[in-house]
Amino acid sequence: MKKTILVFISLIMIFPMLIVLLLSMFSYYRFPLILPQHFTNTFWKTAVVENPLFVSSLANSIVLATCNGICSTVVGIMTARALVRHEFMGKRVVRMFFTLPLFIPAMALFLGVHSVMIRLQLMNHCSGIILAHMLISVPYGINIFISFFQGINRDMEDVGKTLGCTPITLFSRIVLPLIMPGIYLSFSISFLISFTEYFSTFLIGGGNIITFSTMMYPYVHNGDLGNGAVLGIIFISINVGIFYLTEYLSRKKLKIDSYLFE
Amino acid sequence: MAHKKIIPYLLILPIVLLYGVFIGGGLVGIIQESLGHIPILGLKGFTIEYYSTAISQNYFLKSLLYSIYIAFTAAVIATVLGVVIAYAFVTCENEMVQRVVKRALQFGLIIPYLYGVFLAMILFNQTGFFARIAYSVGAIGEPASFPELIFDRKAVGIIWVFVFKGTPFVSLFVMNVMGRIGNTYGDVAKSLGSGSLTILRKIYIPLASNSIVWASSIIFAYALGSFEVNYLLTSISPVPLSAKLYSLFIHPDLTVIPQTMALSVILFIIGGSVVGLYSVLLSFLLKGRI
Amino acid sequence: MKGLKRLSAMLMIIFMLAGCSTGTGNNVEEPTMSTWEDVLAQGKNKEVTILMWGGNESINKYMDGFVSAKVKEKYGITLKRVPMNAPEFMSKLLNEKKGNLNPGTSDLLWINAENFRTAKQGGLLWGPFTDLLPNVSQYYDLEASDLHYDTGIPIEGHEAIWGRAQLVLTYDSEYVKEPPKSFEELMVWVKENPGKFTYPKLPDDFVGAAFIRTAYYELTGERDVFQKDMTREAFNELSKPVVAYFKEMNPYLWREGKAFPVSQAQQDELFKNGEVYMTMGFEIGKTAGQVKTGVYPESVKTYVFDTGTIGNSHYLAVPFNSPNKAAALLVIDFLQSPEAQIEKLKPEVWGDMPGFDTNKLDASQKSQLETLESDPASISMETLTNNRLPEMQSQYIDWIKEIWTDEIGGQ
Repeated sequence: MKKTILVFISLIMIFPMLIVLLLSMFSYYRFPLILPQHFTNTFWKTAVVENPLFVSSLANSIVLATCNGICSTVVGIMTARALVRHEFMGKRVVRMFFTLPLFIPAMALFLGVHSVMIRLQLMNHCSGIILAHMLISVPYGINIFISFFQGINRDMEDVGKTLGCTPITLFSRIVLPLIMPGIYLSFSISFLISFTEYFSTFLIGGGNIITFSTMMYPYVHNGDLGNGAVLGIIFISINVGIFYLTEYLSRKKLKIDSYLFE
Repeated sequence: MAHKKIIPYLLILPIVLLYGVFIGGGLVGIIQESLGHIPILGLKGFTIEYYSTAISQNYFLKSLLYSIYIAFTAAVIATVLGVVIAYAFVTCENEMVQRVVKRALQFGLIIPYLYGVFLAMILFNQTGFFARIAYSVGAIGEPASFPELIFDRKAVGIIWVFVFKGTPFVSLFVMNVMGRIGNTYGDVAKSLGSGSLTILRKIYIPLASNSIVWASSIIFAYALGSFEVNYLLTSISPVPLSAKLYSLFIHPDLTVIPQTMALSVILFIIGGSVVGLYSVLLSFLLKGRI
Repeated sequence: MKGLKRLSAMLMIIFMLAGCSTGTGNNVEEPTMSTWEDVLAQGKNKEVTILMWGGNESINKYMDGFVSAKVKEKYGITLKRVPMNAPEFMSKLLNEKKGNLNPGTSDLLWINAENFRTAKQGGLLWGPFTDLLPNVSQYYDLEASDLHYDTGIPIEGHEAIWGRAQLVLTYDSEYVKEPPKSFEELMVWVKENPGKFTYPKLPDDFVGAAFIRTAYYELTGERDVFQKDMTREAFNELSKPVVAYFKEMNPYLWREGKAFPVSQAQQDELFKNGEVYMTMGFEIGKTAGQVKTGVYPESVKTYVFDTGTIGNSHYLAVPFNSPNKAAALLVIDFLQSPEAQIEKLKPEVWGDMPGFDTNKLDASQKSQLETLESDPASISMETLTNNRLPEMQSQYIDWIKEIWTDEIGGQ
């Protein structure tokens, strides 16, 4: 029974993509045809080869998402470390409010962020977009690392300390390897958030920095099935690729993971 | 050892700066403009008239309630489905099925919202995939008799996109926590003769309640304030508040700006409070009563 | 230590990558351009970013292909097209003005009517510059009213005419035997074919708004009042028959008028799917072009109402903070040249009416024009001119959008 439900759910998740795949390759789809007909490669040609924005937007997206992945992960580690291992004034406040950006309606949040960006002259700049994306990815990073730091046996660090490790060696030799799977996870989630984010990218990039999402938006807005399908397939393949890559990397580290969580 | 005391403050410095400057500063920025102080347009001085204008518009209350309706429905459906899937997943003993399901859920997670809109258009349109199937089995005679599922007043299309994207999020998140609960509790309960529904209600949900509340509130907040889904799939009337806000934002008349900002302050504050209320209620429900 | 080194290397990369943005920080001194020679001297080999509506693939191709190649060849200019709706780039520019961002990131805008009014009010445009353009003085009728007024707003050299367009309707003669020729006939037709007609949603779509404006002329029976000043109350009074008409029509529209296509392009998709039987647009030759390239079947035809449809002109303008103003002028001048305008007129390219004065062309250009007009697929210029209604004052365009949102669409 449970199995049937689970398999059924999986099918529901996957099957729209099959139709999309067909739509990217067949041009004639007048009602009431169930499946499209007339094989064509025009959509792939117009959306990829003849599209002058294709390469640049893809490159922009990857650069922004990578930066966001790295920055959010670093900030996530720092904040989570402070929350788990240190005592400081305002700890309760930080603990309560680090998820705040996820709870504020995005439109209002970004219109505010936008007004700050204008003042700081970060509008139309990649760095502005990265900062905006960090706001909505850092909370996930912190959340991940809190559970990782909590999972690390404190004794292990104490042993290191008694053996005379400097805090830096301690971190790089003991803590970092232990949280490596978390780093991969946090990176891939932040990458994904930045890669898929449309509104803040468009708003703060001012149309000047075109990413894959902002390039795809008009096709969806206009209901252009063929070209939209092609771009969507590429979009999703890249994200699937990133997910697999980080998962593969973190599986290599699983040996440590297995004695981490009892 | 004074420098040791500084370490935690150095560690939290980036996030305090990030939030302080962009969320705090942003709120100040939009409040200032909403009070009508925009020197570049020759607007100086402060007034609250733009708030009363924004609130007195006849669409305001309708849009707000409509947005809350969408967010609430989507969050509840996604949470229930997500929790059930997560529970079925951790108690299912077939590794093969587990692997497939996890992949499928991850797949759902990585689809962008924008693409969710695209899928909704392909599937639920009156000439969409389901309408074609209904036609071919003779359930409907023409496209127009297929029920309106997108651009409709009940916001079925919008809610579907949020559920489609939200369910994998909730279930993957909750699954992690439930997986750690382990089977010990469950085995004890089973040996005491509890059914699987009771085990879910009495053991898994309370133990995972924090994560459920967290994930569910994020879906709620996202559905309340996101732009692309609401804007692209909305009916003409009522219009979700965030879509309305965007229309105002790109309005060609410059004098509308303070009103736009007033609306966005309202969305910031009311929206934030509604999300807070939702998570308090949900956590009360999960911890207190069940 | 290794980890830390790696971390710092990563941080280095981030800062390098974050510098990828294209805007330059330093203020460029405002160059003086008093003659065309100055413009030529300053404008060559620069990059020009044009912000323009991107919903029509044919227009995009014209810009990315023909125009882009020609300006590269002639002036060494790299043309970068950014698809953006007019209201969106207006708010972008306004924000840049607020933030005192100069130089900005865009050099050219495709603009007209109410957006031009806002831009001019807000000081978002650079100018005047039209006196500098050589092709205008050589090939254009300098007395033409749309070279001086855009929907009643004095242009004062702040925008250069790019083309003239008129609202046209498109139908598939396989499904529609006798297309309605006026709003009166349209009502009858819509009632006979419920669910098969719609128009793009106001206030965000340009075409939908023009369709409603067209209705104002026939349904109120007025013509000249729309170019004269009027109070809001008087305008509301005048709107009554129009509101009544569209309210009556609503239940017979696609989705019973509870939803409208969000854009003209989406309506085209509905039309392609056979979900609606008619579509509309401002590109006179677009349908003929689509038939030629096989997107539409042969039976798809274009026409205008016998009672006329709105015609208007569209323009190019330079934002106040354009980093390459001289290069922008070179591109404008090229776009206004007979060569670019005749290419633009071809139905399979764009099908937009030229801005120049035909009498001022030389013989070979004239003959090119005549070959084009003899194409049976395109709608004749004569029919269009005879059924062309003048554009309204831009204030009324905004009012109509409000009235529609409050009373017709919002119900």
